[in-house]
Amino acid sequence: MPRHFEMELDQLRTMLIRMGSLVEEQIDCGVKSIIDGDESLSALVIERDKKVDEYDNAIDQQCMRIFALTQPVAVDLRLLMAALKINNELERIGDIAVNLAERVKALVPFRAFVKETRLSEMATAAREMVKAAIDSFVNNDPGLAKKVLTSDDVIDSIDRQMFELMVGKMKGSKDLIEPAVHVVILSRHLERLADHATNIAEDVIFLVNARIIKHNADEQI
Amino acid sequence: MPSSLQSPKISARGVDAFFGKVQALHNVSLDIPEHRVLAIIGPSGCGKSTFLRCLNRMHEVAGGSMRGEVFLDGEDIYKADPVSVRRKVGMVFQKPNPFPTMSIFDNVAVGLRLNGLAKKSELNDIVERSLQQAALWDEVKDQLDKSGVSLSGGQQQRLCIARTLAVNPRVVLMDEPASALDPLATAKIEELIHELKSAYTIVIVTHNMQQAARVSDSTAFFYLGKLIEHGETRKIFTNPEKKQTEEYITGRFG
Amino acid sequence: MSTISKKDQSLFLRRKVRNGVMLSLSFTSALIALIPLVLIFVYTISKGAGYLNLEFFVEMPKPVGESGGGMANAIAGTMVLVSLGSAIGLPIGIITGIYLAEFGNNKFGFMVRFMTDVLSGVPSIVAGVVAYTLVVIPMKHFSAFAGGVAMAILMIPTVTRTTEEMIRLVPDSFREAGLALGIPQWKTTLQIVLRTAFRGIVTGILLAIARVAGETAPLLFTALGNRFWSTEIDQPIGSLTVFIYDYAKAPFEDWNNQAWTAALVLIVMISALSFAVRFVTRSRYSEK
Repeated sequence: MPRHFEMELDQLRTMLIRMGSLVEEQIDCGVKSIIDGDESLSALVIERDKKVDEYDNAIDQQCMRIFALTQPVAVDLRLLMAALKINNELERIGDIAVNLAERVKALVPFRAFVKETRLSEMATAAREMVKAAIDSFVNNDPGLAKKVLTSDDVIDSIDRQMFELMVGKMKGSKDLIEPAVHVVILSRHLERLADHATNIAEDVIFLVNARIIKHNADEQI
Repeated sequence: MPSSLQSPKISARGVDAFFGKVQALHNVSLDIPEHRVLAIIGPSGCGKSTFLRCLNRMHEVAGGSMRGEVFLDGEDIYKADPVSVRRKVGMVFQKPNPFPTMSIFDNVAVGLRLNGLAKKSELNDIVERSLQQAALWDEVKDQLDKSGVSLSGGQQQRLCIARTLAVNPRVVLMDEPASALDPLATAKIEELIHELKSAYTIVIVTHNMQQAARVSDSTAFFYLGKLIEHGETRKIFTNPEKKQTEEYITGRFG
Repeated sequence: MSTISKKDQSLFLRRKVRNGVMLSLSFTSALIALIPLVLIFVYTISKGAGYLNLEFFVEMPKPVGESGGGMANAIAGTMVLVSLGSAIGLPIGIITGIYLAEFGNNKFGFMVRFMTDVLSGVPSIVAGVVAYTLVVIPMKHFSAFAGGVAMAILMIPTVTRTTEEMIRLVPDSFREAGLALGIPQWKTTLQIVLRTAFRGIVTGILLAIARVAGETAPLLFTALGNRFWSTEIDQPIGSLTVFIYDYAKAPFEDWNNQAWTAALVLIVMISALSFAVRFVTRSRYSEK
């Protein structure tokens, strides 16, 4: 096997893994900055998004090169296709981390309110999903990827509950409208986060098993 | 894969091939459906050329022997007259080999003339039709009496294809037909194979995997004289069943 | 200017000198090798051209004492003998050559090849003796036919070997192509392989003829010679070579001169044949 081709594929995997770690880190910090009301942490998250974008570009370039200059087939081909999709998802997850961070300032006066909601629980679950999805890619583990798919339901149900709760709170008092709306939006962000993690898990299953199971999470692996 | 409504054009069953005491093929069984292109791939020495030559009884010409059966349209070719088998199963070789002492016209007509397959009056038409089918007519129609070897490599190979088609075979075997040609000539041959598919059944041996992927409907992977995997080309190149197949096509060995 | 060391320079000079010496040596050898050929031509032309006239080609030899006359019968005789030799020797040689090339990779073929090589080394006079024993004695007289047999014996080895070699030179890819078209083995051999080797085989044939046309010894006791016009196969027949032999050792100056002329004619005929060989092989390239 031409060794430099092997090296290029390894480089690609490494870049994806590093981007995954960075993005996990971003989510961690983004959530923490909301819960602690830490404005300097949120500024860091926003600043670090540039690095995420750099990874995004670098991975796209690497994939294009490998496609153009070699004729990847079978598992190599699937790796490249998965790499492009996972890259996309990770970049969106990074954006969500930034969205979370951007809300910190506005939420400072409502820290107590935020603490009482289930946001923290949701954030933890979503973070776990992202981590598991990235790990399933690192370890080529479709079993772990499947677990991510099933966890998505949990997050969806929490999101719906939060929505009901916030609507109730808003009906109760006009002063609570502002924070409640923020919480609803944050909840949506986290729900979206979980979706992206799910997408990554589906891409990993495609990569390893060459089966496309999108839009059909019930299928046996 | 082979449509269950149609029996395969060629069917190999338990083919073992030998060169003296050395066994080159081990128990190869393979069905080749009609009007499709089968590509045979594998590393050097894996037996793909040997297998090809078992399909038109050229293996024994090189001093080899074989066991097993090969059915063409249901008849065992090893129980039939080898000469008549070779008229039904034509072969194009790796190095273009038009006969040097004959003109282009004579080269195409040689199979017909020496086998007494056509009347003199029909020759012109058959030669023209064969050269058309080989996508060579336009380039040589005004110089049919020029020597066969005065053409370029790619043209010579198409001339050999025309020569093979002229005797109207049912199956055309090609042993690395483009490996001695430049990329442009190769592309022409590959395009030609696409066009010929509708009239003939084609089996092509190639060491170029991208060519196999471009040109064939189904692919068979041979290794060390054994058939490792055989399936739709699309499947073999996106998700093969056997690990060995995957390792070969991704270039991790061979 | 030069960055070559003193040591390298002297080495370089020594090589140049050695090179020059070898070059001049080989050039001189080549010149020396040409001398006999040049001498032959110069002598023959100077001695023989003078007596070259139409008479030589159309008249019979005159009786002893009378001057003039020609060697029309000898010229015709040489041609008849060569034709007879070819008629017998070529088919045998060519078919043997085909057999050896296509089917001769066995003990029998090895034996045939060995015998052919031995035959090619046989002195031409011995071929004459054999023909004498085989033909002249049973027939009880000399004849052109016996001469033809002697010629054939001398032609067969050359033709066989050349034919075999030329056929072996035909690449297997053509045989394969022929067989793959469903052409039976014998037709492939004859119509494709033989056709491809044809030019080379013709060269071999022409070379054999050129050799045999210049033979004298085997004709001495087979065809014998004939001062009169005869092209009968069962009668003795004259030939240029025997005539040269007879006339050159005769005590008549007139005859000696005629011998030179005959020699000239013979050389010209053989040279013309060699040129024909060149011409035949050259046209292979004009097809490209």
